[in-house]
Order: sequence, then structure tokens, then C-alpha cells
Amino acid sequence: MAALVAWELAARADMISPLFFPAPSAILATFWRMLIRGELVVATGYTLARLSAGLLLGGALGLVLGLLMGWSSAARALAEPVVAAVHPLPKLALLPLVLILFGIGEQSKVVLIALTAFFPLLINTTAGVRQIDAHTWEVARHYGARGWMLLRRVVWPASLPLVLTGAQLSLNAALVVTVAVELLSAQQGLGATIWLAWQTLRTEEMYATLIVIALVGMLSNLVLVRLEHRLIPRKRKDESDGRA
Amino acid sequence: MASNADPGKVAPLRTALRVDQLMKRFVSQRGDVLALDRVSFAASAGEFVCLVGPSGCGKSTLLRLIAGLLAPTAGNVVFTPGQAQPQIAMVFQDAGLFPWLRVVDNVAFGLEARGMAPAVRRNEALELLQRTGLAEFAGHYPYELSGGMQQRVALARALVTQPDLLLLDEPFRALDAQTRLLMQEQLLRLWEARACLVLFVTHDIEEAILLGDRVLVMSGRPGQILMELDVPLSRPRDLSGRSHVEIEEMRWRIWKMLEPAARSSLALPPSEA
Repeated sequence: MAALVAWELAARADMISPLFFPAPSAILATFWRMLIRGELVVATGYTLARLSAGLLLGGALGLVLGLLMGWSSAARALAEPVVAAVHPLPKLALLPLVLILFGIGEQSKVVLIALTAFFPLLINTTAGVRQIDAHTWEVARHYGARGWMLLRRVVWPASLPLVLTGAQLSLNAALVVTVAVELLSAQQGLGATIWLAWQTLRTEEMYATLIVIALVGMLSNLVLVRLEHRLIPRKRKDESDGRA
Repeated sequence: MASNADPGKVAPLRTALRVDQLMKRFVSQRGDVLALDRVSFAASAGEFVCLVGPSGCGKSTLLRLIAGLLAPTAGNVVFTPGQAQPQIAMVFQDAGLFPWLRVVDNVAFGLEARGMAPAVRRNEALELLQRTGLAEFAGHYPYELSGGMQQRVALARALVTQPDLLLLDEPFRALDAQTRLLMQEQLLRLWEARACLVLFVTHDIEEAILLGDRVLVMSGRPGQILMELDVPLSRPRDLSGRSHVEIEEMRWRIWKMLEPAARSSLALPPSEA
């Protein structure tokens, strides 16, 4: 708060260049104007649409393959070298390749976001299944659980905490890549808005859009935390124990 | 009630058990461990057999072999009369409840695996919870329950499957003395109502005598059966009348048998007496 006040005063007193660091009040006014005119809403809509399409596609694939890799050592042996080779690549570096393969339209953007969302969920889901202890498997097996029931009643809930951590990592990585792809190659979306604002030196608009991106990140993480508390009631207990 | 229509309950096949020269060797990088060495015993239908022995004598391994959770290195586990797969239910040392399932779903787990319809298995589970005095906790999660209550839930989960053979692996080990006494009483009441064959593993000599028809005394590693004792107490048992001279004498005999192994496992010198 004090920093904001200092910023405001410094900008008004021309101690810092208002062109690059406009006063917070000016940013807020711009933010409001862009909101009223609807351009922020439209841009956010584009970004969210890409983000959720990519997350859904990449996340679902990562989840299913992760369960498979966690459960079957054969699947793990088969997929692990590929994962080890592709996972460390900065996904943005693949943009040109993806553009060649999928064209310059919406498709290539979603593919790149999906690729980003894929790995954290894959790796965490695999780890989630693998950390299920031998005793849990033993009890489940002893009481006759197999196939679908074993998956639904034991494997899935047992790996859920790590799956949700993976989902959070996927979400944040996907948000970064979504905005980055928009900066590089989109006409619409929050990233494109920032780029346009920068090129035309309307820095207030750049800052206003950054606020929206921060809000999108915060809110989507909040949704995930709520989801986690809902899905894993015992987790709330663990956390309150930890605090005590 | 649904289970009345079950023909298996009208004329129950009484399962008996024979364990024949059972051996188990665990192979690891630090060398092999012979956990069980030629263990043989028989148990008749409806009997309550207690296995007592020092920690690490392979009692849990023996139960897992009988349950089919481990494969023996040599020897056989034979169920009579000629049942290929009798219903076996095990209560594990640490309850082993699934923390993500409500109590009622934990109890109904074995029934669900058999493909029983949700409403039916729920009713069966609730009935057993009623009888173990846990009906009001049906909707709770295991972490909301005390250790003793969790172990009762585990017992209910085993009993609801109407097992021919009930295996109990030191189920009351982690409980305080009062809770343990109440649990023992409840176990006996539930068993007297069903009278399936029970194998009860414990390291507590007194517990073995108070609960069992027969006590098998096991040695330290490798586990072997040192002796068998019939318990001269009548049924139904009254656990509060525990100061029989015979019990004291039995207890002393078993302790004398176990003492050398117990001492050596603690690296204590042999007894002077």
C-alpha cells in the first residue's frame, strides 16, 4: 500500500517517467475505461477460451496417460524416454514447428498450450499412483477390488492430492504460455492487448491488462484450492493440524 | 432381509484349515531371511485359535500366506471340505481403512467388490455397524474416529463379508488397556454369533489365553510352532474373571517357552533361574 502511494506521488511529481510508469490512479482509470468499453472483457474471453481448451485437452491426456504410466511398468518403460526428451524443451521454442504442423490459426495456439499443460499432470499423476503404499494395494486386493472398482475407489482417490498439485502446475504453466503465444502471434487476447499497448506506447493499457492477467491467475488458482477442499475433505483436517 | 435367502447360510459349509510344512523365505539384496520354517497345524471349523509369539516371529507372514497375499516358498495351505476359495477376511494391524471413504463405504468395500447393489450393501454395512455400536459414525471419515473405533470399523468390514475364515493380525496392538478389554469382549460376542474359524495373532500371552480355544506358541525367527495348548475355559467367556489358577499356570508355561527368544531379541543375557 505504501509502495503504491509512493509510486503515485513519484509519478505525479515527475520523479519517474509517467510514460513508462504511469500513476496507479491513471492505470485504474484506464482499467475502468477498458472494462466499460468491453475490450478487456473480449480479450479475457479469448484468453480464457484458449486456456481452457488447451488445459482440457492436454490435462485430460496427461491424466489418462499418467494413470496408465503409474499403474503399468510396461507403459512406463515405453513412455519414459519420450517424456524425458520432450518435457524439458521450452514449449514456446516449439511454436514455429507447431505453426508448420497446425497452421497459424487458433489450432496451433491450443496445441501449444495443451502440450504445456500435458506434462505437469502426466508427471504428477504418475507419481501419485506410484506413491500408493504396498499396504493399500494389499488391503484393496484382499477385499477383492480389481479393474474399474480398484481405479475408482482406491487408485484415483489415493493419487488425487498429487493429481491436483499437477493440475495447479499445469494451470499456471498454461497461463504463462497462453499469454506468451498471444504476445507472439495473436490478434486478440490479453497477450495481444499488452503487445499492442506496448507498441503504441499506451503503457496505462499495458498495466491495466497485466492487472487482468494477475486476476485470472489468482482466481483460477483459488478455484482449484476450493476444488481440492471439496474433493479431499481430510486435507482440510491435515492443514488445520499443521497450523495447530 | 436379503441374506435369509442365501442358501449358504441355511446349511453353512464349515471350513476347516490345515497348514502343512509351510515355509517362507524372503530374498533380498542383504541376504535371505527364513521367516517361517515348516509350520504345520490344523484348525477345525468354528474354532478360535490364537497364535502367540515374540515380535518378528513371522506371525503376520503366516496369516498373509493363509490369506493368499503371499506365496509360500514350500508347503501347503489346505481348506476343507474341498473348498477351492473359502471366504477369507483379514483385519490388519493398523486397521488399514481407506481415508477417502466414509465409514459405511469402508465397511461395504468387500461387498462392493462382489458386485452387490449399492442399497443392499449399504444396508448390510449399516446393520453390522449397528451391532458394533458405530451406527452413528457411518457418515464419518476414518480420521474423525479414535484408534479403537477405527479397528472396530476394520472388524466390521471383515465380518460383513460373512467369512468362513477370519484372520486377525494383532488388531488391538495399538490400543490402550481399557479399550483393548472392551474390544476383546466385543470380538468374542460377534464371533459367538457367527462362529467362523478364527486365527488370532498376538504377542500378548494373556490375550491369547483369554480369547482362544487353543493357543499355538511360536518361536522367534525362523518362526516355528513350539507347542499347542488347549484353553480349559468354558464359553461364553467372561473376561473379567481372569484370575484362574489354570490361566496363571498356562501363562507361566508359555512365557518360559518364549523367554529365551524374547531375551535374545533384546540382546539381554539368559535368565539366571
